[in-house]
Amino acid sequence: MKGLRLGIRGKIAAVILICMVPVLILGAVLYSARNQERRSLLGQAQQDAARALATNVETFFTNAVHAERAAGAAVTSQPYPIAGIVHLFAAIRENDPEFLSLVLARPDGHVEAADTSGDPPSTIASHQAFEAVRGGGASWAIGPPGFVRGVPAAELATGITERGRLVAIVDGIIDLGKLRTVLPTAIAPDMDGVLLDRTGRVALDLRMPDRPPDAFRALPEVRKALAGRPSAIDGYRDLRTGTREIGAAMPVPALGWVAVVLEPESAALGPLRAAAAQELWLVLAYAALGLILAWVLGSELSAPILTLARGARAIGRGGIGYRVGLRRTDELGELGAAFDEMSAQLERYVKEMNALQAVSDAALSTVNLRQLLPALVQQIVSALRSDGGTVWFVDETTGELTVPAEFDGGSSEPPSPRRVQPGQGVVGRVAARGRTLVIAEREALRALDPDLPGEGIQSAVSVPLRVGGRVIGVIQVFSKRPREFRPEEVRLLETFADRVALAVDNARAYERQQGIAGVIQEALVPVPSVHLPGLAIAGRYQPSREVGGDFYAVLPLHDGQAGIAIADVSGKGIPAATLSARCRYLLEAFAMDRRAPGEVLARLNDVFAKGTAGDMFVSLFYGVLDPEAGTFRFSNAGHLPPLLLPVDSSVPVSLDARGLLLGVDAGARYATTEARIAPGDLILLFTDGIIEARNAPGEQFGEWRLRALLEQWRGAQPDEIVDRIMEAVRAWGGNGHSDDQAFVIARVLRGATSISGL
Amino acid sequence: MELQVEVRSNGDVSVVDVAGEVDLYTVPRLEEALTRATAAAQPFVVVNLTRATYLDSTALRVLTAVRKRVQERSGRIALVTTQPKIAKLFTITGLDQLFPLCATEGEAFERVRAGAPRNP
Repeated sequence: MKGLRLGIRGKIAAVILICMVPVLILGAVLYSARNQERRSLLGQAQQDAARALATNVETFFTNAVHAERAAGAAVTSQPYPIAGIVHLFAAIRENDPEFLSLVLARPDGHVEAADTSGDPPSTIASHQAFEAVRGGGASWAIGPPGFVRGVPAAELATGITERGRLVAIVDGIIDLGKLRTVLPTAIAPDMDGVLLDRTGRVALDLRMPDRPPDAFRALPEVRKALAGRPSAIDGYRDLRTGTREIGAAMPVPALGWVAVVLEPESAALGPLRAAAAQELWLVLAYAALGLILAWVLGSELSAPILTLARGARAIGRGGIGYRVGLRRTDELGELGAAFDEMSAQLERYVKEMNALQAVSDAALSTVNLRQLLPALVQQIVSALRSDGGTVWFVDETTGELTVPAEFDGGSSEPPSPRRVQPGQGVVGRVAARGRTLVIAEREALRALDPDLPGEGIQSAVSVPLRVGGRVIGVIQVFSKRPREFRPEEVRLLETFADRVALAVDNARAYERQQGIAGVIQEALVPVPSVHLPGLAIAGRYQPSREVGGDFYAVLPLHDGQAGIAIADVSGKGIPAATLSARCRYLLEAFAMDRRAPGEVLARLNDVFAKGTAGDMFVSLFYGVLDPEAGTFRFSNAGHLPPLLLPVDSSVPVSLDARGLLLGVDAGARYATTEARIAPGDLILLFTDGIIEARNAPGEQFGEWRLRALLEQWRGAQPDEIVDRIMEAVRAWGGNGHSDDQAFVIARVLRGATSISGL
Repeated sequence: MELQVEVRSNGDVSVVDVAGEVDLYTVPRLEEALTRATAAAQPFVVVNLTRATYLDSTALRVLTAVRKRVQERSGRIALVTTQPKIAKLFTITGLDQLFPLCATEGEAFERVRAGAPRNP
């Protein structure tokens, strides 16, 4: 069960997982590509920002150079008085507040005019820019950044030329701090912009004024930018805050400086990571959804399969008719319906088979078949899902059809006419024609049976009971609802009817045979009131249910002698009864010839051994009582030895004489034994039906009980003794004895008496 | 006790094991087994009644019929029984004159193979 459950769900989950693998791989690839793309876009944006920063710086300085140049040109082309120049410079500074000071000098270093806000020009700068311009290397130059009055500043020198000759140099100190007002427009608010001079030192930091001047000098990316190539800064850790920053470095070609933008990595990559995580979660949720669907689908499939398996097992255990009751609209529902249909069909078949089997079983039993008939019919009625059924039998003399009394008071409510003339009504017609008649509608039934009662029957099938072409009756199954009977149902009923007919016929044959055997048997019972001198004799014969072959005989012989015999013929029924009769009459005939008992048995044996083909035999004890002489001469052909209870003894003795069963071996010899008898002696002859009678637990009556009874009742008349013994045996074994029981008791008297109780 | 009959062979001898009760209702199975056991052209049969609890006259009838068939084909048959009750049945009916009654199967094999007298 566990394997099955894991099986289907597991397999579906596996299939879906396998199907999802390419999707997951594709997702991973796309995820990676998207990440790179985002990263690259971010890098691009940072580069752009850095470039914008660089351009703005350049423009700032270019503008400053223009201002210086204009001032210088004005001074040199139209000679001003010194005071006028200073005034001009002041005006320029007014217009371009980035100038902290302006100095006009001759190339030889002579300062013509200066607007220094009080500071001596020599303190303003290193004069590196001135020197660079005077050296003729460039039309303008910028010096290294520094601080003037706490303000970040740098020297900017511009050469003024006339007809290609350097005539003056305007040397200004630029307030780099002014860049703070210009630059932020170029970069995003959460970015930092840093300006590095040509040595990599921090010239200006837009947002973090206290950044150490050498913070970036060692960075390879910065070196690369100083060499003139833009570069991306991939992981700069700020030493003071510990924050990791990323950004870009862009050369400012005109200055030889570098513009750097930076932003904290977390701020830059945060949204990116959030987006990536979102996508990753989407993929995982998709996978999880797939697995959940696989599980649900698996359960959806495996649950009904398990239900079906339970059903199959239930039916296997004998729960015929089990229904799984799967209510589904898919193929499994169809399978469930087919299963239930199969189960119903199976149940029907089993019922049909049971109905047929019941007839066979009933036919085997020897109890009256008619008593079983209503129950049998009820079974077939149930198998055919009908409401009732009845059997009519044809009266062999009148031809009338009658319902046996056993159907009275049944729940099947047979139709009210219980006696039908041949050819009349539905049943009479079926009997007369010997053919099945199926009527599905009440109107058609009424047409044939005008006196059909009430609203009871709507549809009926009537099938003749046939034995060898002879109709012995009709079986009818009816329904109180109008219904069709399917051909296989009609066939089933016909099969049932054939079996019933056969069983009834067998039962009748058996009854006839029993009747005949009974007649023969009656002929064997000794004639009562035979007067014998000197003897009191009583005997009993109790046939079993089936006629058997025990008998006893008391034969008046010559000279006051009497023969007594007891025999057991093997087998039952007519063969046993006829053999028994033959045996008795032959015994009587041979006994009259004054022969010794051994000779009588030998002659009987010769007859039987030749006549019975060895498959039947008789055990027979025969003895001749001579009260006058006080002798009992006897011979035994395989019978149980009789008991002799001498008048002067407390225990009986067996009258042993060995001899083979009659009919087994032609030529067998039988010895004659003689015992002395005295008046008062009791002789008991019996068959094995007495001592083998069994009580309920199966214990046999046993010879010792017989001996005890004989001793107990030794004083009574033989007639009474046989009654007591019979009572005891009956009390022991009940009435259900399976074997004949016979026994004879003889008492030796002085005078003559009669045989009684026979 | 329900009748159980089995046929096995011991060399050229067929052994029929009979356990339980043989009566009118169960005797057909004994008959069937004996028919199988005596199928040989010259049958040597040992019927082991050691575990038989009851035999009725129909059982005797079947045994005598089988004995007749075996003799007609020059075969031999012997019975094994250690139960006084069963043995007594054979002595009472005189059938002990026709069937060698042996205490052990080995003895029965000897009787059957050595050709014990048919009518001791």
